[in-house]
Amino acid sequence: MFKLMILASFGYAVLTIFMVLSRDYMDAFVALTITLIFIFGLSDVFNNKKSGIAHAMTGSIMGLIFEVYYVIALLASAFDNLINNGTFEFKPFLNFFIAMVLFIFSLYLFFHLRVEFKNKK
Amino acid sequence: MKEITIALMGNPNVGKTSLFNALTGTHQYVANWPGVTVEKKTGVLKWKDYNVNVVDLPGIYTLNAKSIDEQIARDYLVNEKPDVIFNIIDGTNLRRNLYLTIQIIETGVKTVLVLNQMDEVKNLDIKIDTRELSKRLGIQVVETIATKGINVDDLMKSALTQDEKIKYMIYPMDLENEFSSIQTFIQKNENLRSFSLRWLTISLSEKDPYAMSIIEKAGLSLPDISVHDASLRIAKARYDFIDSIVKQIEIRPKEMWTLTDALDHVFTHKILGIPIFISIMWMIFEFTFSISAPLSDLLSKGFDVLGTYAHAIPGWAGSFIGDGLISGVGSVLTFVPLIFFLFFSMGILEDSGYMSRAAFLIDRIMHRFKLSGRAFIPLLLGFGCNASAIMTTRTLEGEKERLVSVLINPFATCSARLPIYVVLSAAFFGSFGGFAIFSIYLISIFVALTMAVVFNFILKNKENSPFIIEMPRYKLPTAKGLGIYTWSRGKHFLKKAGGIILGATAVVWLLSNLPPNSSIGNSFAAQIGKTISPILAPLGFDWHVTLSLIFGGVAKEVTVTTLGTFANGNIESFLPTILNPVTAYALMLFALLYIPCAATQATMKMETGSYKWPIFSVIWGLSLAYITAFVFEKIAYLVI
Repeated sequence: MFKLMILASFGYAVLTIFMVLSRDYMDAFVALTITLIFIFGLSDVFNNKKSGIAHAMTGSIMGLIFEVYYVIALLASAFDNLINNGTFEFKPFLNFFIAMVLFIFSLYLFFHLRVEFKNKK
Repeated sequence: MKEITIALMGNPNVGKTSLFNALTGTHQYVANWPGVTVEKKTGVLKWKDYNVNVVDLPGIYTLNAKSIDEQIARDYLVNEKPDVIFNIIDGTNLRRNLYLTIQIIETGVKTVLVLNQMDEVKNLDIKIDTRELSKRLGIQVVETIATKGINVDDLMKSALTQDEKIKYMIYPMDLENEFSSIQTFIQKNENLRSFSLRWLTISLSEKDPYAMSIIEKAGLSLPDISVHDASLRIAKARYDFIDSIVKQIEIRPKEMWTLTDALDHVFTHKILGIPIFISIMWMIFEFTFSISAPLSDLLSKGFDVLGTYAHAIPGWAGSFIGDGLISGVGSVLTFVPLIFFLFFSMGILEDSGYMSRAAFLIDRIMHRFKLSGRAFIPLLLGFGCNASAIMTTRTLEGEKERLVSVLINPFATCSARLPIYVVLSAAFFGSFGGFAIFSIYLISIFVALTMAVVFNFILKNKENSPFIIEMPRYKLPTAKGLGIYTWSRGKHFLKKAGGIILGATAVVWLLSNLPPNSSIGNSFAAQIGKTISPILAPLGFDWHVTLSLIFGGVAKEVTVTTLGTFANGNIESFLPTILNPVTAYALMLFALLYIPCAATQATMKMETGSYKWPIFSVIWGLSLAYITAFVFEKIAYLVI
């Protein structure tokens, strides 16, 4: 699980940087918060404390909510553009792509952790 | 037809309103935080040859009520005496819930224990022996999952079954002996016969203020019977009794760590808690705006097309339909998706169980403003509607703290003000529009909290009530629940659009077109506006804006419909002719702070019991709005 948490922290940190570069500061703040949720749980996971799983599960749930929200917001913006300007622009595509990869990863992490969480009881 | 009355009582957030909805087929507002129901609600159930009046009461932990919502529940039980009480309890938390059960049984009213949330009981692997529980308490026990439907027959049969008279000992003999002297005193006085003997005896022993007030009202004085440490000993005896029952009837896994515990470990984290709260608020805000934008634009385009057709109708009818109805009311109806999605988002927040955590996180900040975290919930709900949010202040115990919460609530920018911000942002701030609106929300919170300090000072409020709130389990909001929530809140907007907004728009159109054949600049509307506009002229608001703000006092959306009527269908190109970016933002600030709408003022009067406070709120709000807009403009012109 430690490796998965490192991977999640790295993924959301990358998303934060890309969002800052595309001047999407508030969404970058959310991505940074999720990164921190994972990072704060690393030492607990390393010490095999159950609070480590709490961080990993919360991070994956927050991540899933964030990605669903982000994709809906991007899609809505694209449709709005289509209605007003007649062009369907899906921007920034790279952020969308990273968000989608992280969505799949968070989904895997959540279901993987759910089993581990039940056993940890 | 036989008529009976069944009251639903229980701790907050155990599913009373869900059961009420299931029994009566109504769609009362349900959410996942304690204190949702603050008033008595009634409904009717027709069952066989029974006409059952069902009464949903606010949640209460004990009959020793302190806050207004708790008093409503206690007073109903003691004074109205329903035929049956359905005492709804959370099956996962018997120990806490059974305290109220014992108090209800002591009132002598026929009680049925409704063991709710049995799905959660199963999920948590808890085993409850309901038959033994029924035997120990001497009342009927029914298992339910109110959110997923109920067996009405089971509940009604239990309500009509005569309970076996069992005598169980809760209180030790020495305490019972001390009760007997109070009991003799009550029995001697005819004035007290209408009250339950057992309840009044124990309540007087506890020196419960309400029980004492009954004695006072009856013109009696309680004999000097000093029951040593009675309230503590009574509470201990009740808990000992509950513990003995729970030990016997419940088996729960030894160490339980639920998903709620895991999430709370992070959501209420001392460092991560606030960033998570800001993140959630941002996502809710941005989700609402982005998802509603294309739908609002589609509606706007649709109204433009309709307006073109309407203007083709010759004479005043074409002008009324095109400029009055479509341009005016249509300018507000384009915000229907925004308002509905705002309530949808708030529904997610309320149903998920995060509200209590948000209140917990903000508590420390709120204390700096002499408010408890509980006062944050009405403030947050004020972003939907101030009038209904003010009613939730009933859960606050301190009288002055409650009054301060009522007075600051209109500064929480409600959904009705949103169309004003959106129209102005779209016309003046382009891609920064979203940020301009978000800044108004931040200013709204800042002003509300600052005003809390000021009002606390004015009212000399030194109460600093401790914050105790129950953390409900997190739940995935259901589509049905969200649908009911969104519709029940959003439909008021539609009703307003078809009623007060339509009426006000018709008046504005009439004033703009009279006397006949005059230009709008010479119309009655212009004459009224020009007479009053010198007052707002220092803020750079001309007569159009002045008149729209006056009409906006009835319902805030009318500000937009009035401007829409003057704009002849093109509000975005009309606004830059009467405002600039600085005055536009000043108008947003003014709209945020000036008078509460008529519905909010009426609720203020109802909740404070006096006209003094709504009048104070109007004068204070107007002054604050004027000063803030004026100072903002002066600084903005200096900087730009």
